[in-house]
Amino acid sequence: MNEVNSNKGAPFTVYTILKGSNYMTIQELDQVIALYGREIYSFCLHLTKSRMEADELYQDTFLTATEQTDKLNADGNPKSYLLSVALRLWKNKKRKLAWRQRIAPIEELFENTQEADFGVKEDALYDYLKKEQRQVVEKAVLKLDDKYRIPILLYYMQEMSVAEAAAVMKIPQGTVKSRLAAARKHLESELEDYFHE
Amino acid sequence: MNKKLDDILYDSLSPIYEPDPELNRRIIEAQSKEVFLMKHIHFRKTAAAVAACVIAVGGLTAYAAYQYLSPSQIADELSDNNALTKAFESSDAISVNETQTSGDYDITFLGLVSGSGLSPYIDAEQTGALKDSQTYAAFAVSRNDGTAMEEENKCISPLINGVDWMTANNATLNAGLHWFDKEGVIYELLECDNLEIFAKRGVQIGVVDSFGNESSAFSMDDKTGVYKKNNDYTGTCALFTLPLDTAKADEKAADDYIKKLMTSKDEDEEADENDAEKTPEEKECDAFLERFHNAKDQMAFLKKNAVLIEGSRKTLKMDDEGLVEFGNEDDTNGTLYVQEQKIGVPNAGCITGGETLSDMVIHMFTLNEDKSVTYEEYTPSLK
Repeated sequence: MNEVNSNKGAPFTVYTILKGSNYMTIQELDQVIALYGREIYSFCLHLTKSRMEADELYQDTFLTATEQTDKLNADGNPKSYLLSVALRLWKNKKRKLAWRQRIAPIEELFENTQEADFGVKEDALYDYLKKEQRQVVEKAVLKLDDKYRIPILLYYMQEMSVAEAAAVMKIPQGTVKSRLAAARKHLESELEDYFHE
Repeated sequence: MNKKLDDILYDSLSPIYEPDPELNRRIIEAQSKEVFLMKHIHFRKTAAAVAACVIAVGGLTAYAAYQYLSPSQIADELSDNNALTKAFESSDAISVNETQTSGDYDITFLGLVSGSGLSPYIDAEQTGALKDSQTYAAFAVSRNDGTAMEEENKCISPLINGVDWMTANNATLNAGLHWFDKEGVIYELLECDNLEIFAKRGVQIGVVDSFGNESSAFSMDDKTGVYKKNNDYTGTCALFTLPLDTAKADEKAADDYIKKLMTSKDEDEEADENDAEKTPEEKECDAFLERFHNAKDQMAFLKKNAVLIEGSRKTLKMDDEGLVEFGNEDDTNGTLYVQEQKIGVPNAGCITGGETLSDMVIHMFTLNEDKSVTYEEYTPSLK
């Protein structure tokens, strides 16, 4: 190999993504997990409603992504790609045999699950009320059927646009919009008593 | 309450749950066995390449198309063989050199070529793919203020006129993207299934920030099927028409290809079909479940094709949360949300089993008027 002779004197770096190849260094995987792990894990937890299933789905999602690095990188939006992988794997798993469905009560689902520390400290009462609100809302969302819960998670939890959610779910934008509207209506009714107390 | 509901949902559903560190460690460990260092640094002394690059020393200068690397030079940098390089130098290649400006970026479509056996990398495991004819399109992306691009390649997508993007996109067109940065310019090479067959329909190439943005950036004219840019889209958006030779169009092949895209099964079913590890028993189970799921009256289907497991029928009590618990601790057990089931309509709440029909158990739940739930377990009849 010869040396580049450019005025800037710096070599250039080639990033090449091959179709169907398995080219991701440990450092790159570590970085992807650091960047998106929390969001993907939170999504898996709400999708599967089971910590055990969430752990498995989370692991499978990243390992699958490392086998399709070309798609991960070509996407330009790794989080979207990881979410679509998680969704596909979950959908596939639900249809296969030999799985146990256990929908845990919400307290048990999130019990002992590590929460991110954002370093912001509020007073104890505020924290308590926030936590209670979260539990009530999460419970209501968990009760939604998958086809309504998934767009809600993508839109509100992952802060995606309708277009992005449609691309992840591989359904038309109009369908996403109508499912969001239906889910919101249901949640409004479900949460009305709590928020109007 | 809508705005308030939105705020509440954003706040309460924000992702706060971290995976166990041990879980992340397991993922890294699993991957470490497959690690392949793909990031490599090239050092080349090519005077021609240097001359082709704009050297903006001490000043900010926009690039002109002639100052970029040529498609053959791009191929040369990316390939470990010279097939694509030569193809770009041949008479089959089409030189385009069209630049569009979108926001801060100048996006230049340099050229394209189609053919077989041109893959930049020859992988012994992918020799089958080498025989397929593919199209390669070369692009350069630079900042129009002359500052260097950072690692921010764009997504380059073929758009087939008359075919919805959700049907024909990078994922379904078997597209791959190679890119590198040099002297502040990002060079990108798109490869995908041969687009020449669509020459009579017309093909365009869209350039956006990320995969998925295409659906917002472009729309298809209802009458002509031609894609156009959406004026109100604010992200990176460039649209180039591919100057394909209509003499190379193959309308039948194009129609067959599109038909295949439109009727292809979703990724789950494709994965099932391609799963070489499936046993005959597993396929038998899949076939049974497909018939079950497609049956208009699932209970009638079970009565005809399955047997009620003796002693499994129970009356369960729904709790205040709308949940019922079923099963026993020694075997399959679980909790199911039944509150919103239609009264009197049996629902397959859960299917468990092993890899054979004899292991399969379909757990049926029927919500009764008095809010109790009739629970039954069925297993396929063995002939």
